[in-house]
This record gives sequence, C-alpha cells and structure tokens, in this order.
Amino acid sequence: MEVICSGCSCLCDDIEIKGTVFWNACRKGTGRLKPVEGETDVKKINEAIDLLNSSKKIGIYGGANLSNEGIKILFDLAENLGAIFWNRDLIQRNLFLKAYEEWEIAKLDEIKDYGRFIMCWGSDNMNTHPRLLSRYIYFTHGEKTPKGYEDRILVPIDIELTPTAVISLPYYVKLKKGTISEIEKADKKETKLVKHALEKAEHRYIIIGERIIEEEDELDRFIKEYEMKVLPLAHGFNHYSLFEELLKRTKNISPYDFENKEIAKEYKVDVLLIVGGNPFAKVPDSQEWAEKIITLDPFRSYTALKSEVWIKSALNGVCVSTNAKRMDGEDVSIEALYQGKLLSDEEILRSILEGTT
Amino acid sequence: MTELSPLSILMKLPKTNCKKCGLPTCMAFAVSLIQRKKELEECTPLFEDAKYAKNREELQEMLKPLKEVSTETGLIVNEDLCFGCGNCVIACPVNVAEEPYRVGQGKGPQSDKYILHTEDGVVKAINVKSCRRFGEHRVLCEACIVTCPSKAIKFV
Repeated sequence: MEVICSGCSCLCDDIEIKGTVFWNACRKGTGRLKPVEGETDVKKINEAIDLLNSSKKIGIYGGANLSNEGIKILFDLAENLGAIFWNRDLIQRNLFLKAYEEWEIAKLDEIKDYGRFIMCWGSDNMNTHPRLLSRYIYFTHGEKTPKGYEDRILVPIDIELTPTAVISLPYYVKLKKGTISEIEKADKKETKLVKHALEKAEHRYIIIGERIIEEEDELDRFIKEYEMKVLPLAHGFNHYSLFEELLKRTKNISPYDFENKEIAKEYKVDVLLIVGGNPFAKVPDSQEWAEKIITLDPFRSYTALKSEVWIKSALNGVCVSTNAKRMDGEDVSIEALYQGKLLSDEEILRSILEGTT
Repeated sequence: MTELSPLSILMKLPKTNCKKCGLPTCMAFAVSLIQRKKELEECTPLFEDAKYAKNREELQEMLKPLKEVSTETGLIVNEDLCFGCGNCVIACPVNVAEEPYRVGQGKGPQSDKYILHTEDGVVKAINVKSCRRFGEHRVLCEACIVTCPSKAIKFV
C-alpha cells in the first residue's frame, strides 16, 4: 500500500512501508514518518487555557504544519483572543510570499508536462524539498518533455554552488544584486546560455526560495516580462493552506494584529502560543517576544524545552489523518500511519478555543 | 579521502616494477587493483618491507570502498552522502524502460527488474547486471552519476 509523506510540501504519494523500511522516501521523509509515542496531558491544556485567560496581549506563532481544519481553528482562536499572528516566513518577509498574493502559481503537473525552462531562484530544493525534481518537475517525462530531464533546462541562480546548482552547472549564475540585468545583458558565457534558453522557451517556470537578494520590483518586472509561472518554496508541509487562509481573512500575507485589525509591526506579547514551530532555535531575538510560552509540538524541541507549558501533540499526517494542500494548492488527504493516544493539534486547539471564549 | 584512481594507487606502491605480483609494472598492478583482478596482498614487498608500512595502511584505507562494490559494474553508493532525492532512480534509463508509466512519472519502481531504488532515504542498487555499463553491448552511461547532487554514486 502506498502512503503519503508529510515531510515537506511535496507530499510524495508513492511511499511504501515494507516491514520497518520506508521505500521511495527521501531522508527527510524517512525521519518524519517514524511514530511518536506518548500521551497528551489534559492538565497541560487546562494550564494553557488559564494562562491565556489571564493574559492581556497574546501572540500566536507557526501553523504551517497544521491540517486545513486546524488552520481555520487557529485563526478563529486568533480572532477570538485578539492575538497577533506571525511566523518565521512572515517576519523574514521574503519575496516568495508575493507569489501567493500576485503571481500565478504553477501546478506541478503542468511543469511536468510543459516545463522546458525551470529557473530556481534562491531556492536549493535538493535540500529543502529533496524529491521535488525527481518526483514532479525535472526528471519526470511529460507530454512535451518525453525525454525527461534531457528535454528541460534547469537554471540554478543562487548565492553559492548548492546541490541543486551542481545538477545543472553550465547554467549556474551567481545570485547578487543586479543578477537580472546581468542575465539580460548576456555578456558572460553562462548568462548568454540562460538568456538564449529563456527567450527560446515556450513555457517558463520559476521556483522561488528564501534567498532573495534582488530588488522586489526588478524581480516582479522580470517575472511578468517573461510570463513566468511561479512555484514558491516554504518550510511547513501545509504552508499553502496557511497563507491562503491568512489572505482570505486579512487580505494580506503579513504578520497580523487581530485586535486592531492591522498589519503587526511589533512582536511583544505577554503569552505566545507556538504551534508546531521552533523559533528559539532558528529566529534571532525570538526569546524576547514573550514573557511566557505555550508550545504545541510532538517533539521536545528547544522551544518546547524553554516553554512554561509544553503540550505534546500527535504528528500530523503520521499519527493522525489530515487534509493538506500541496505546494501548488492541490488538495491532498493524508491517512495516519499509526494510531496512538496523543491528541491532534486540531483537537487541542479546539479545546483551547472552547476554554477561552 | 584520496580519490581512487590508478595514479593515486601507484603513488603509494613501491614503484620498483619487481614483477613479484605477476604483472610487468606497478602501474599495471594499480589498474588491476581497481578492476579487482588483483588483491593488495599480492604486492609482497609492500607487506614485507617496514618502510612501506605507512603507504600500505593508506592503500588499505583507499581500497576499502572496492570491497563494498555491489557488482561487477563497479557501482558504489556512498550511503553517508546520499540523501535519497531519487534523481538517479528516475534518471536511470533501465528503470524507466522497465516501468515507463511509473518511474517515468517520477514514482519509485515496483517491479523486480529495476536497478536503483531508495530505502529509508538511501539509494540501493540491485540487478546491476542490467546496467548499461555491463554486458556485451555496454555503453558508458552516466545518468545516475551526473544527476546525483551529492556525488554519492561512483563507478570504479
């Protein structure tokens, strides 16, 4: 039986479990698909409710690893509590967020069939989404690309020679301010190759990652001028759904203050509810955000370790069935691989929502 | 780790062309070692003379991967470097020819005739006799090597 991996937003659907071995999964997926044991402590949920009820200013962080329904409950909670919502992607506001608001999102199946020109802009997808190229868009054989990767041109544009760049070395262009004008000028060997491929290609796709150095307007113009479709890459397996819901509720993809109904500029709160994130290990100054922390996480992360209340929850898509959206917005239903005593994030958030209203 | 090539092996051999191994030169012996036609122990001066002790140890370390070679095609997958992206699985022309509507569409193989597949995030090779680098009509196919982002696959 084939199962779906929730290791990243690729949501690969060809994983087979033979005994204790995961076939076809990458290392990232294999790490994710292991069972998490234990039991959710209901007392901790009550402690979290008490803490939230006694606080004036509340923050909510994370959410990209929740189910579609969980995300809705998360925003209901934020609205009810008048909380500030943000996460790592939103505060380190990178250009790839613009893709959800303005640019046309490319479908993976469409890139597989028509993608003869694929540009990876500041995205090292071999590390972040290891099977994206092999399972979906580059090595696969499509309608207009019957020879697979031999029919396609992959253009890695990055600050250094990443594993993704290694696959397509002749087209590698170093990313810096002014890279677009360099490509358009085409006075170097590699930029000449890229420009020729760019102009020749009928369908063009750009995978946008986090290392964006180019000016926002310049990249916007470049994408629109060459009619490129965009595939943004982010961390959580359900970030698409999170940003879609945030856009629907706030008309914006930015940190949001649900009390004052405006884009949040400061992240100073009394209590911060962190849902499936580890900002203390990743975001500078994150320990100064709040006086008290409540963490919902299946693992004892560094943030969980530093929290006043850590509620151990079930791992979405592994220990509990979940609905999610793939990186291109395709709906995917993920069946649980194991059954356990841990409550899902969705159930815990619902209890908190009921307890705080 | 020193790259495994006839020249790098030759540099560590006694280079006396003593012919004790049965071959005319140390270079020929180095090539035979890589082709796994000869064993290092057949170079007797290397083991008898104390002045070659350091070189011998280095050679033994260098030749270790040859013991892990999965087949006569000389395919080595360095499991420490591989992270299971599966590029080689989908790029392998034999895998695609066996299951065009599955491997060709990016899914992992299911039949029992494939060469490469991933297990727990690491590529494993079986049926390597079907590899295009093997057999009477062999070609110098490099599909799995050039598509590997971590350079985990080697042919020696």
